Amino acid sequence: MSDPILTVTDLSVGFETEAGHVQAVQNLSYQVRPGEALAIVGESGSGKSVSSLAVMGLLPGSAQITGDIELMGKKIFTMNDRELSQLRGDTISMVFQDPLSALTPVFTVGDQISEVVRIHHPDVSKQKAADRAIELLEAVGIPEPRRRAQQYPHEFSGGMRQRVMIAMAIANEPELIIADEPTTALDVTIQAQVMELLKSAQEMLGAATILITHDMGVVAGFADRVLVMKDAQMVETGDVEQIFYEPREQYTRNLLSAVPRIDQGAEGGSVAGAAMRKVAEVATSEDSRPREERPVVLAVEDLHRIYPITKGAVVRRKVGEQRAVDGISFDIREGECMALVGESGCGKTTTLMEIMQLRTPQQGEIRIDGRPTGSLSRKERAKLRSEVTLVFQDPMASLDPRMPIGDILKEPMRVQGYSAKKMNERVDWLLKTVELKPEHASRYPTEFSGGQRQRVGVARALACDPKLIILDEPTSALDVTVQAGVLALLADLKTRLGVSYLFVSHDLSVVRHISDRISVMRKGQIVESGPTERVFDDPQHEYTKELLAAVPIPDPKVARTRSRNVIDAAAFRGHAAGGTAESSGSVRA
Amino acid sequence: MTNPSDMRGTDDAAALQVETDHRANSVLEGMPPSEAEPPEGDARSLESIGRGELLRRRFLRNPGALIGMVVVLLLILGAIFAPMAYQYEPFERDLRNALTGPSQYHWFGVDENGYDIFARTMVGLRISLVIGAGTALLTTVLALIVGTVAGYVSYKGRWGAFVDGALVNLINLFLVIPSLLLLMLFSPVLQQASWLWLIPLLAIFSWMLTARVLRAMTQQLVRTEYVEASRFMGVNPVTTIVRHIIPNIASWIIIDTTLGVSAAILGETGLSFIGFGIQYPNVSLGTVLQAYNIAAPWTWIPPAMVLAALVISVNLMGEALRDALDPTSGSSRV
Amino acid sequence: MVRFISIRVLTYVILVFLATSFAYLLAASLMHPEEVLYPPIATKPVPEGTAQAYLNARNINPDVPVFQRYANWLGGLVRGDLGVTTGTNKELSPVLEVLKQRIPISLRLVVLGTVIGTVLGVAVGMLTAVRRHSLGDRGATLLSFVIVSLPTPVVILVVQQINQAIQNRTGFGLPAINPVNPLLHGWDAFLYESKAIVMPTIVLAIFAAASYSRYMKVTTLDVLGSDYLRTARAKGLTRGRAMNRHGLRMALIPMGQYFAFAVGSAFTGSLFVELMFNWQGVGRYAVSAVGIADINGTAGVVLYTGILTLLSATFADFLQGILDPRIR
Repeated sequence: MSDPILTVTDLSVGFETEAGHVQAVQNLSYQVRPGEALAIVGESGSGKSVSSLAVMGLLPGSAQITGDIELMGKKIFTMNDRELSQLRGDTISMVFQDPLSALTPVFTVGDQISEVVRIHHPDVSKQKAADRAIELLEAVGIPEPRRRAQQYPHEFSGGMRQRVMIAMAIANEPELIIADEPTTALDVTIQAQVMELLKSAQEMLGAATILITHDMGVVAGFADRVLVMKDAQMVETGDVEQIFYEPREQYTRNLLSAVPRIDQGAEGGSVAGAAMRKVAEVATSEDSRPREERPVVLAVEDLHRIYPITKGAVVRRKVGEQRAVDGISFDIREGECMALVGESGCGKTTTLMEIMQLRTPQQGEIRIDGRPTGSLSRKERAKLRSEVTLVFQDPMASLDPRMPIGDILKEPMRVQGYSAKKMNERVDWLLKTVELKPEHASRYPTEFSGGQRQRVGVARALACDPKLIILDEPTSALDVTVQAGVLALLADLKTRLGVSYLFVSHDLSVVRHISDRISVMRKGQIVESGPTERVFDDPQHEYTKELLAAVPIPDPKVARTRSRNVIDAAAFRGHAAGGTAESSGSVRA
Repeated sequence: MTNPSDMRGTDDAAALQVETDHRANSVLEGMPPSEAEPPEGDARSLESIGRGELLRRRFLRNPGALIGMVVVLLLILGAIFAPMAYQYEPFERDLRNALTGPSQYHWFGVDENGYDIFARTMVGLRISLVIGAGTALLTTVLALIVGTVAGYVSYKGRWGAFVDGALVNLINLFLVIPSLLLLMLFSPVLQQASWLWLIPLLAIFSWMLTARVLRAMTQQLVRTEYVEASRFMGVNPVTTIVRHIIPNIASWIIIDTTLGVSAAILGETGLSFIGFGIQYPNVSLGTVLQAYNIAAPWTWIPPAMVLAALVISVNLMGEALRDALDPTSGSSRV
Repeated sequence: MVRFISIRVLTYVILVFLATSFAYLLAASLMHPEEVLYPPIATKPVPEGTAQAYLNARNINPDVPVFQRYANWLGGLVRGDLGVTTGTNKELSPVLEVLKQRIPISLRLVVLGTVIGTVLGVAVGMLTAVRRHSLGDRGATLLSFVIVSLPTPVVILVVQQINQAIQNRTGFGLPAINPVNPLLHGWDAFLYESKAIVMPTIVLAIFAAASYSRYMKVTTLDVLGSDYLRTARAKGLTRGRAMNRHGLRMALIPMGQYFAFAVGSAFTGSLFVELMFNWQGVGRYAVSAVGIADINGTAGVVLYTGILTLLSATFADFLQGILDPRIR
């Protein structure tokens, strides 16, 4: 085996904060060999991002660092900023998490790519560097690279910007690429494309890669070796097969078993998804009555929501319309969980808001318990507010930080005119129901962790015995182990209390474990709907198939069979056809 | 008044986010308590000390805050008691000692009109303090009404957008109006009735920036999920503003009012200095400074020092409050 | 970009028009020039006809309804006529002529002070943010804090007193009162004028610099924590080059909105400066015009500040449009 490119020895990073000393990374050691793909996996706060910034030498000055990092035989802690700068972008490059903010908004994309060429090769002319930028854009699969290079980052979509980031990262053929949560902010189909691009870029360059992620599914399809971190420390490290099939540590086992997977892990030897299967068992334990006999809680018929697109600041004129929701229909019966699935911008949030408004929709009809929302009197509408409730995506934002959780839970009850005694009893019961302690009622939301706050959010939704709870991506802001707990709670509540759920999500693998029926949304329309098992096992619509194929599977053997090559190596080598042909020769060193 | 010395900026709306978004700092992502352990008594995080206690501690830890508090307190006591005990009245002329320096009889000396500078400074301090505090409070009330209403209605359909647009343009109009000139117009007319008229007058020309920030903050809060949640629960808008919005901007209002005191004092003394502020039978620090004489530095240095000490101390307190409420952004970095 | 700017300019024109009209109406109804010019207690009463003729010639007759006078004034404005000044002299000197004479004097101060102050403030703000917690940062931050806490007259007095002290010590100092010396000619006059402008400019510049450096520090610190600056460094730029190439421009963008209203405060500042350094500028004229209840003169000054605000706000938008492609 060849010499390692990167050797991290006994790395510790700490910060002084007002809350005292915070140890972000403790005694971390690992090696990366040429051409190898290492994944560093961990939940939020495990220190995985901090350790990679340390490798780049980009930690803030307030960080206290001990240990040693050796990059191709050079110890980086002995180098100054100028020497490190010569390595960054040339020998070692990085792809950051959030493509929306990682590019400077005021420079064109082409300029930003050619800059990375010219920093390390000052002898390359401006024109050649600009041509090179166009080649690179073409290589990462951006259509019309010559025109796109003249555009600014805000004119690119999230996935396109991440491609630009990758183009910058591979521009100087680095020995090591660090990708820090490169797909967290992206839709699942885009995620699949970006991961494939990254994988093929790595293979083409023969570069070593460190992938930092919380997503076990992404790891399975990408990494050769895995390093699991928890609470600033390494838990275990090993080959990807060993980690997925025979994890040594209990934490790794827990982490894997909490991962939801669309194939429910029926075959293959991976531990992944074990705990989630139990959730599914609870969630799908059938109501004894057949579906057709149960009353309809929510019916949506031919719902439309059209936003006009206007132009002009002084005199507004309509230049077009955006059909956010374009004629969708579905119904939810008592004790049933219906999942509304789709990627960002498909109209699922608009649908949910239309339902929560309890008003007459632009077109179509929404009926709750058989009554159309348009026909309600003020009083009836207020009453109905207690029967249809909402759980928000972000538990940090959905609870007023200035209110004790007891008051937060009482707020809906106060509107419905409950007596003080009844409210107190109910707060106790609610907190117990969501597995929190009743004596915590006087505490403020900031004293709770993310998962606990989401439980408070669920308790608030339950406060007035609702018939229907709308769950808006209730677990997407949570770590997987926490997500598993919240999903288990939701499944349990559904069977115990007989409430119905409208579960809005982008995550097919989560939905598979909790829903009875699924509707797949795209561009304001429902393209496919049916019982969960049927949709997963036998998808009818092209788009559903595409979505399912894009969901990463936390099983290395299964995952490996799915990847494809996507980088345009010819364009990268500068031999591309079309617009870039006139650029003479390559500018690579 | 468009005073260049207005300490209040419009960048503070961002302050709000930092308090609710602990994940903002990507390096220190979510260090605090892990999921496994519920917040038990001994494992208390920083937050569970209680907000008030935490603020008090951070505020008192700041040396600037302590100095500011002590100086302001001393000046207030001086303004109340010194004129009672001192032997000269502000309009008592001692022409024989005109333009003499500090002495054991005339502590700060005498100006060229024969007035005792210490007596005038202390009486002027009284009026400046009353005007500063009164204007700041009134400014905040005005700004709170315009700002929260504009911010709250701005997402409430066509009608709301119209009201919001009208209020925003009102704010801009007042920003464009040359407030100093209008103050010069109004002030002498209204002061024929009472010098206290200067308070509403100054307030009318200084609420705009605060209102603009409060509007932005309210907008941000209206979009938060917890305000949306209360709407979906059927809570009425006034209750929502009182229970959710005002408590969440209260801390900023307190800071802004504090800094508003010093802005108002600067406005009033400037106006009085050019002769359009506090009028004859009364004195303010501005009118005392008016009798300056470069050849006799004691005619202006002591009142200027008192004025500077007052404004700097109030600003120190305001900035310390801001630091205590929000250690990660805003003025703690200035 | 052109579209964006023209819409903004239109908004400003409307705002300035409203503000000026508002000010004219207030001045016309609050000011009583007849009481100043023909006090009832005067020993020799002026004949009624003479007084009426005087007031009518200046469109300030209180017997004419305010809105009628406003309409007259607007009519004059369209023809480029701002009316005639009020005063004890009986000659009809147009407000426009007075302003034409005084605007260059004031504008010289305002422009020079604002430009020097802005450049200084931006530089200091950026440096203090980059070298945060250093001795220089602490010193500059404290100094700007103290300056923004001081009233303008006090700062002027401090500057004048220091000049006085130097003059007493060395016999060499800057002229403190009067911007021009009528006895000097040619080169000497120029030399005198350049020396006379130093102190007023210093005063205006340090106020602008102090408040700009505070804003600039905040925006620069935001930029320093941004993802795109981290990307720029990950590309291989050193800390300093990343800041110069990517950070500075981003940090300047939010400064535009502060600049838009800065001229208003510069006018206030120059008013004090003109009073205390005895410059015959617009600010000084404003004080005397309000003092003798000169309605046309006051309205003229309001118009001048309005146009100044209009220009600076437009310039700020233009600057922002150049810096930030997103709003083009």
